[in-house]
This record gives sequence, C-alpha cells and structure tokens, in this order.
Amino acid sequence: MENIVEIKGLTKRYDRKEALRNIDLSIEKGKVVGILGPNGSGKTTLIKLLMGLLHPNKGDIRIDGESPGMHTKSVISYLPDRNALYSWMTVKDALQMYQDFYQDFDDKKAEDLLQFMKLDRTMKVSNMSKGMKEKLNLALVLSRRAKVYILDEPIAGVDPVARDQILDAIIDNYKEDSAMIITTHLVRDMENIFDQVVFLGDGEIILSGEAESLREEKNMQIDDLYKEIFG
Amino acid sequence: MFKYAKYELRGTMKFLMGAIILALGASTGIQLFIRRETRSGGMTLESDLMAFLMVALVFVVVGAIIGGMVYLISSYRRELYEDRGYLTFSLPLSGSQLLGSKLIVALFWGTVMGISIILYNLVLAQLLIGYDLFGEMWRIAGQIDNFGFLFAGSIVTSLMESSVTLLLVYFAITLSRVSIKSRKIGSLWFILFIVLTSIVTYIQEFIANQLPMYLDLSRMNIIGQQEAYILGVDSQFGGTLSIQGVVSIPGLIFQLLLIGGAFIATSYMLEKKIDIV
Amino acid sequence: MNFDSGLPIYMQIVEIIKTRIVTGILKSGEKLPSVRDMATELKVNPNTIQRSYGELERENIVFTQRGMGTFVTDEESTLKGLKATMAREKIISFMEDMERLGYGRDELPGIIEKMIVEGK
Repeated sequence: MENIVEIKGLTKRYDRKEALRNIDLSIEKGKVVGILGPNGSGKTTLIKLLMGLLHPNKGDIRIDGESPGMHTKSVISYLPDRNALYSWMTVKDALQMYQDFYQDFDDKKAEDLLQFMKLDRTMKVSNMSKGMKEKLNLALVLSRRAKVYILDEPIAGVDPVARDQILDAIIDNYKEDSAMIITTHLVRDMENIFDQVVFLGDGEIILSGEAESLREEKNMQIDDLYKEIFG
Repeated sequence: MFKYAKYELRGTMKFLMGAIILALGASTGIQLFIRRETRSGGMTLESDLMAFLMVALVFVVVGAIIGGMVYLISSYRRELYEDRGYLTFSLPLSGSQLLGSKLIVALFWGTVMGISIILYNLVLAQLLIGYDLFGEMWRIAGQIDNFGFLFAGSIVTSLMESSVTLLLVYFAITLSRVSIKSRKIGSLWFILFIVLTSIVTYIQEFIANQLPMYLDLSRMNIIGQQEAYILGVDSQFGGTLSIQGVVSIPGLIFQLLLIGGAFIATSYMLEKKIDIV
Repeated sequence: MNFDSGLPIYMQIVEIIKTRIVTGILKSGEKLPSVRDMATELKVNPNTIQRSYGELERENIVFTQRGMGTFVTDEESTLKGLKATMAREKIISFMEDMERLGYGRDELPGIIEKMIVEGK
C-alpha cells in the first residue's frame, strides 16, 4: 500500500524543552490511525508539525509526497483542538470560506452533515456552545474529500450525545482512499475505529502497531493497554 | 491572491465602519459649532463648556482615525497570537497572499476613511456654511499645470508611504513574534518599528541628498539640485511628494525596494518561521 | 458497543454475527448489512467489519456476490455445523466454569437433570 504520510527522525524543541524526539511514522492510505497519549505527550505538537503550523528542528515530513506547505494544506482536512473560526462568522460564512479555499469541498455533504449535527446556517459562531462549535468544525472538516484527515482531540470536552454524533460522523465518512489521523486521550470511546495506534509519551513513540494485533498479542483491549502504559 | 482579502474585509468591517461613522458624527458636531459661531459673528467660543466640547469632538475624530489604524494593525497581530491563527495558517494560503490581503485591506480602509471624512466635511461645510468649497477647489485645480499628474502622483506616493509604514509594522510584529515566543513582551514590536522607521528615514534622506535627481510632476521632467532649489524644494525628504510637485527619484526607488524587501522578508517569516503555539 | 475481552474486535464481531445467524436474527441466504452500515451500527472501523466478513467467508458461513453484497450461506449442513460448534463451545465453557466451582464432570448430568425436572 502507498504511504500518504511519511515522518522520519522528527524532532521539535520549544526553547530548550524537547516536545518531540526522533519520531518515525508511516501512514498508509485507507487507514485510521490513533495517536494516543496523555496531555502534554506531544500529540498536538506532532499534528501541528504535519499541518505546517510548527516547523521542525530536525527530521523530514512528507504528505502526499511533499513537505508541509501550500500543497499539503490543500489536501489535508484539519480539525484543530480548539475552535479557530473567526468570531464574526456565521455557519454560512464558515461554509463559504471552506468553499472558497478548498476545491475538494462538497456542498451536498456539508448540507447533510449540518442537518445531522442539527446546525442552522444563520447561527453565529461566537454564540455557540463548545459542543456546537466542535460539531460545526467537524462538519466542515468532513465535508471535504481530502486525502488526509487530521482530527485533534475531536471528542474532548463535549457531552455524551455530541460524542456519539461525532463518532458516527467520523465512521460514516471513512474513505478507503484517504487516511485519518486522530489524537485522543479518551481511548475507551474511540479505540474501535483505529486500524493502527501510536502510543506517544514524553515526546517519544512508546509503542505502535496494528490495533488488532496488539489486542491479540497483549490479550487486552487498547484502553487497558493505554492504562498499563500511562497509568 | 485576494480570496483572503474578502474575509479580512468582512472581519474588519464592523469596527472600521463604526470608526468612520463616529468620525463623521463628531465632524458634524464640529461643523455645527463653527456655524453657530460664525452666525453669531466671530469665532469666540462663549463658554468654557463649549470650548471643552469642541476640543472633545476634535479628539473623537482623531481618536476614531487612530482607533481604526490600531484595529487594522491588531488584526494582523491577532493572527500570530490568537486561536484564529489555527484557521488562517491552515488555509492553503502563501505568506505573501496573507500579507498582501492584510496590506490591501488596511490601505483600502485608510483610503475609505480619509476620503469619506474629507468629502463629508466638504459637503457639510457647503450645506451648513454655504461656502462653495467644491467650486473653489475645482477653480484652483484648473489653474495648476498638469493637475492630473500631480493628483495621481500624490495618490501613488501617499499609498507608497502608507505601504512602507504598514509593512514596517508587519515586519516588526512578525520579527518580534519569531524571535520572542512570549506574548508578554508584546510591545517589543513597537520599539522595533520605531528603530526601523528611524533607520529607513535616515537612509532615505541620505540617498536623496547624495543623489539629487528629482521628478517634477507639474512639468513632467527630471530636474537637478539647482532647479529644485529654485522651486524652493527642501532637499530633506525621501520619497515624499513635495508641495511643489517634486519627488526625489532615488528616494522613490529606495521606497520601492523597501516595499519589495519588507514584503518578501515578512512573507518568508510568515511561511517558514512562525510557530503557531 | 463495548468489546471487553482481550480478543481482537474482528473476532468478537465474528461471534456476534454467528450468534445472530444461529438465533435466526439473520436467516439462511439473507443479505448481511453492508460493511458501512454494520460499522455505523457497531461503531467500529469499516476495515474491521471487512475483516470479520472475510473471516466468516473463509469459514464458509457467508459468501460474497460481486456487486450484490454478502449473504448468509444457504447450505443447511454448514449452518447446522455452526450451531453444533457454538453449542459445543458453550458447553465446554460451562463445564470449565463448573469445574472451577469444584464440581466433578461426572456430577454435571445429575445437576442438569434435576434442574430440568424442577422445570427451571
């Protein structure tokens, strides 16, 4: 299978502190990869390096054959770990922006997702609850036919109903020809959707592999394994 | 290129329109005072309160203009320090496209604000005081040789000067963001901006003085120091159009280079050096 | 859906589908839900469902018709065999549990008979 994401020897320092140390990771098309680790383990740093929001101190990142830049940004659909939509925007404005900037944006799909998430086009972003913002952002992200989806903590801090909706939307929008990278520390809720998991602790990969093989090998679910590693 | 400008424009619309309306409102107040005073013969503000109100209104106009400028600068700064940067910097947008959009929208608002305040006041003066300012201006313009050139020249040079100032601001903000991560020392950019502006002004004057070649827009020819002196041009300026319609050619070229250089350097930092933390 | 044992999820899904077939929720020759629908229902990765269907096909319990979907086999013998195998597994696990409780294998028929007579 073709690797859509290739990371080699990736190191990132903030001032003196090493946030990521010598990360190697390859991700195939059609795979859903869980990046698991407690807060501060380097998950978001890794994601932001992939997005080109941060620049590495060492190492190489290739996404769709190119290092992070204009091209990779146009093929990655990114859900940040916080709402970043401008506060003046309504749902309609946000849709318009995605349509203007991303050629792979699918109107019809956006329509369905908004309906599924029960979001109204006239709602203003700044008046939304955290859960609604999360759902809007996810709806926008999943409305694209991207090569890579990167979801940073998609279910953190939302109520259980929204959590289920978000999970359903992720599963429904799985595509064989694109990869999904999802970070989470809520392993119990999400482990069933991962093909591959990467345990990240203190900026290093502690363990990685096929989720099913790990279950078989360790004779436990990924959540239990997570608790064993980080507990 | 200008895809992003649309969103920058929409994002700054509310505040800038508010500032313009405020400035126009205060101008109206000022003009009403002037009318009252002229009607009652002489411009003596009769009470301290009136004098105070008049001064306050002038401050409101100036404040609205400064507020608009500060807001436009902060709109750039916020991309580098606030959560919205997560969206802006994940868009497939090059550093130069982002910077270009910010610059164009800031210039646009500066122009709209300037023109609307001036025009509004002229029209109002005509209505309230009955003095035909437009006719008078038209008459004066007709008497000036090559008025079209002068007019275009003054627009181009003032846009260039505004661009230099804005780009130095953007450059200073970006450079201080790249070199110091902490937001606390946020005012560093301002010191950097002052230093940069001083250096740039010094170089510009130096070049203009060393290479005395001027473009005389009212006659459309190139003149030297002698002719400039005769026209009464003070040689102590860089790329600015003098009141006589003369501009230093080396100063102008330096300004162009400066715009290009600051633009490229800032775009480069935006694209390759900024860490959105 | 929570998958609690240490088994891989695709194996647990194989068991779920087998149970559905044996208990008649899925009938002989009936079409299985599409991979995507099944994934949404069980909230798992579609690749996992694909693997479960693959495993079931390898065991001849289901068959795939190109462009049509996946169907439960209509071979009665296979279905009977499946039922027998599952029954066997249940009984073995029951016997192991009882042994852990301290009963001897020879005591089991008596206990069961007694319960049947009592109508429980």
